[in-house]
Amino acid sequence: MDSIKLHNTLLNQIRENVWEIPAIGEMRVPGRIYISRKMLERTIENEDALQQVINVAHLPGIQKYSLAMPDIHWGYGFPIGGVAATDLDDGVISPGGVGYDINCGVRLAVTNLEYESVKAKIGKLITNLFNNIPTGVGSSGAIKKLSPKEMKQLLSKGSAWALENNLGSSSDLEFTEESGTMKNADPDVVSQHAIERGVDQVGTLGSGNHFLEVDVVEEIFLPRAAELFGLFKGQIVVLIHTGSRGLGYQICDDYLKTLVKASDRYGFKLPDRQLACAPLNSREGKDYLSAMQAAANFAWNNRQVIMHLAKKSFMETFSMKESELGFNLIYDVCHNIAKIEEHFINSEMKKVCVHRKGATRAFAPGSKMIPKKYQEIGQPVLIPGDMGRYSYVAIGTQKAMEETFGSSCHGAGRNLSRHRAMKEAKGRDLVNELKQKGIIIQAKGYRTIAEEMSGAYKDVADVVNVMHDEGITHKVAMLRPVGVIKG
Amino acid sequence: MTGRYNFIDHTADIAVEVSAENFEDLFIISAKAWRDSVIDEISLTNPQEKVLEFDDDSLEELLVHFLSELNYFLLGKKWIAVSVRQIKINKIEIGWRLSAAILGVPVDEQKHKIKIEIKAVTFHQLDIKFINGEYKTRIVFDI
Repeated sequence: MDSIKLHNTLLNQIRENVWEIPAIGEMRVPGRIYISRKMLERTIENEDALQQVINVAHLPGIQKYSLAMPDIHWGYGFPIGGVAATDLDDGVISPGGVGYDINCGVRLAVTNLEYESVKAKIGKLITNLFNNIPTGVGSSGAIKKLSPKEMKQLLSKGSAWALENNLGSSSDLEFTEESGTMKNADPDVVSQHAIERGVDQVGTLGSGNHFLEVDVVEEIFLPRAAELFGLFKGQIVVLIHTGSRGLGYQICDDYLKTLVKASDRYGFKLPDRQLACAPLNSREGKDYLSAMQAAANFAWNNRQVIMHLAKKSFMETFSMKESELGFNLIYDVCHNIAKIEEHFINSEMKKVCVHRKGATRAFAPGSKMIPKKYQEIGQPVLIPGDMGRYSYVAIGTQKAMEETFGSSCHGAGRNLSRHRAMKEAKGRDLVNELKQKGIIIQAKGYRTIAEEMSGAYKDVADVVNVMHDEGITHKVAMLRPVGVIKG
Repeated sequence: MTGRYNFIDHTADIAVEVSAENFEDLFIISAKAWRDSVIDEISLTNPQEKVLEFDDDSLEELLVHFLSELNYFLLGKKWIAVSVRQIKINKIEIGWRLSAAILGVPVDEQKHKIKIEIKAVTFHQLDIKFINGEYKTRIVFDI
């Protein structure tokens, strides 16, 4: 095995795609990055992401390793793709380990439709989806504006709120991580500012990299898992990527300010203010966790409502009944969250707080935390790519439980800055370019299409293959976009 | 008022470098950079005034707090802060105090095109320093 030095950081190769940064100085644990040599040298060349892996290793109570998935790139505090577990008794919780978009995540629903028989109507479908699902900056108005009391109920109930309001079915809850509700969410520790930012955003996609895609199943890698998920080649499926919108951003912002002060008070010496944290058993730590859970509930409900609006759009477009359409949820996963979980650490089962920031939970077969239907094969892991190429469905493994606190990658990661992407897009007709590839897109403005163009992202296949080759997740299927709506 | 700002390239978000001769101008120019990030030209007809007053432990926290309030006015109250009419920044016994009067208008979706949604004003690389007779800092907006 080899060693290399990047940005004055020594990386020792542990396996083909696993690199370790030795614990030096004030680091409490080593860093471990799952990445190929090619990606390591190419994608981290000009970034501070390596330093951020090192910074996270300074957090009080961190266990085993400061981890990073192959889609690692620079973030605020933690790198995107960062995973860290902290001890419940003497460890901390950090909003920088969750991110501003709390419970940003992905939901995949299958239909009974085959692409070949509906492809002539994809344009009409995308128009209907775009008209029915609010997108774009500060988008609002998918459902009636909620009263503060209703909003608090939603924050406590998560996806169950949608069901009570006839915006989903009970099987949708069964196939959502945590069944779409974190039980200890406390709306009373959510600020009025946050409530006001989220109150009219239920059922909205937002802007940036959030999207709703109509995909076709292009390739099956694991037939048994695909069969259990209800996936078959040529099938139309729907992928939804969004989070907790303004409410979650504001909660992160509010608590970051609180925890910056708390970090000083508790005497934590942190290498980056964006890593502000508080002990998990402190008032500040508990309040952040409860507020974060409220935002997580908002996000699950948000994706649930969007799925309902999408189903209506399908039924309207194809003049089909719900039973004919078979619009069923495979799974909903979050990739920005902190959760209290049990993991095997130093020969004992231990409760820890697992921070996943741009990382997806990937629990193994047999886990009681995943739906019964999937216990034979493991938890579905959904990894979106970019709007011009492909996305992946994978499953969690026992190796993920042993090495990464049951975590895997979450997406492709940007290749170009938004500014660079705009420059590259100048003079091109990206809508037509996508159309030539069989992809119909509708967005609020051309700027989003330019900033989010395929070439602005790394190839998600490289990311997924690292986790597959290392046995952390196994590929089940590849999806190809045929229609996209964006903010 | 003195000072200036420049946008600098950033992979995912918006980064801006701000310089001014004093703290007050640094905050005013930072507010202008925030405004120019979220909206194109805007005229101030029939302006309304909002008053801000708060304390923080450090100047950096005070600046993030100030810009975060402007961002909240836009996204929570649908009110766009167009200019800073008056601002005072004073050292107090523990930390710093800001008092400001902000002029702005309610967002009119027909007239005002909001370019981007700033999720939050971050602490990343935010360090107010006095260099060559000017106060300077970098601010990164998460979008």
